[in-house]
Amino acid sequence: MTQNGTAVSPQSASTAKRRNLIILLAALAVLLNGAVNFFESRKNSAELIKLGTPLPEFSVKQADGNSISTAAFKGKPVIYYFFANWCPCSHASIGFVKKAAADNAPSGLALFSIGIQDSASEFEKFAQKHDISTPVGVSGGNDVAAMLGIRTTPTTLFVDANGVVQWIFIGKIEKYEAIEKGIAAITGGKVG
Amino acid sequence: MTAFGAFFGGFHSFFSIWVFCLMQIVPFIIAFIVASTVREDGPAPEKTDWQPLTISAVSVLGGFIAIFSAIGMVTTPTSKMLFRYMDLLNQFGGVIIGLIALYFIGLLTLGASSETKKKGLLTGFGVLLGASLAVAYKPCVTPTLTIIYNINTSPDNMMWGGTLLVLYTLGISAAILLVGAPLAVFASKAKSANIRLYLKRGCGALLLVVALLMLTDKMTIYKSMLVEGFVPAAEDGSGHSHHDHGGPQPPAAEEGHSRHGDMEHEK
Repeated sequence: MTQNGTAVSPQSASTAKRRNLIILLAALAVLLNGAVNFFESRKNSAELIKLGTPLPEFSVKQADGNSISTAAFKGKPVIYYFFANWCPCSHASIGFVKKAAADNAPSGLALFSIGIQDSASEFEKFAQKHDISTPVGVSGGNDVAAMLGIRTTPTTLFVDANGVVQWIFIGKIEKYEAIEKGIAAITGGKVG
Repeated sequence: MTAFGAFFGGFHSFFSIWVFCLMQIVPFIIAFIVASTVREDGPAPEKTDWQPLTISAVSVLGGFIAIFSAIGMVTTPTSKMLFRYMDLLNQFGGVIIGLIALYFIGLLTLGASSETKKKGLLTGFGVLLGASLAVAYKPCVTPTLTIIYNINTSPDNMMWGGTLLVLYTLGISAAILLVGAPLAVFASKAKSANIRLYLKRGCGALLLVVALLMLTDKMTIYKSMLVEGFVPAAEDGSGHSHHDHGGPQPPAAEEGHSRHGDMEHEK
């Protein structure tokens, strides 16, 4: 008898069979556990963000433990900035997004930064480092990102006062002009 | 963005600072190719046996390209379905990679004694491993990928964006193969059968590590360690640098196209 091309005795063949069985049963158990956890925790099915359609409502926790919902921004144009503290492009882009929020405050533009793919303490570090005074939500478990289909940081969404996604920018923002179109799309053409 | 630009962007990312981000997948793909090529029994072959190397490389990279591109074409129903079941697929991938790892370590024997069966097994393993790594991989938005992703997000650009994504991933794959194939050839020629056995088991152990990372949902922590540790931060929009250490800056990004109905791009 051979196994993987090597001759083996009947005794070791039977040991190997038992070992195989144990390994496959263990794999099945892990898989079942994963499946049960997945379907139990699945409160929201994926609603990928789509241009021209409303942003699905979601809520995330803030550093102080209180939850904040997208409903809190009803009636305002909002920039949603998804970041991670370890991501150099998130650090590089936040300045432009903050400038957009500050310059367009007269148009009612709000900024909502949401940390993903990391722990809550890391998001706080990011917020402190960049002195972000606007709301910062944490979705360390990645639920919101998974729900919206966001896989990379930074991802910036431009949502108008009716809650409709008008523009999306994925990746590092190199210059302010790169997002001016998005700002104009949600502020009725005015760019501060 | 041209077709060549997409391919070269992927290829170049492997030889740039972004290789640290690619380390989420590269060691494991190479470990699979090496473990598949090395024969632990008998004397070292005088001539390289290209068949297992080719089968393993094509299957693992094919699986990776197919699923990574499918996920990235975000306006398609396939992408939506993959996103919906991403966590579950991650668990499934972890189990699959774990089993492949145990096979290479020698703890799991699948009775594939004939060469034909072994080839079939290798092909299946390769496709599943590549697909699983594509699910687990959270890419960094390199300058080229920024452009491709932003093209891809408009339904009007699905075909072109998808093509660019496939070419980009092909570029990464070509670079991985460029490094992985010589390593596999070199490893397969080790004179001592024991060394070849340990090499194969070592590759299996490496695959076991990624399987555990996936099963425990720790791939992001691994990625964050790689990126935070090796990719220096650029200045933010206000002109302040945020990492204390020096070193080379990431390559300057081209201007990112954005997802917008009237977006235009160069074909």
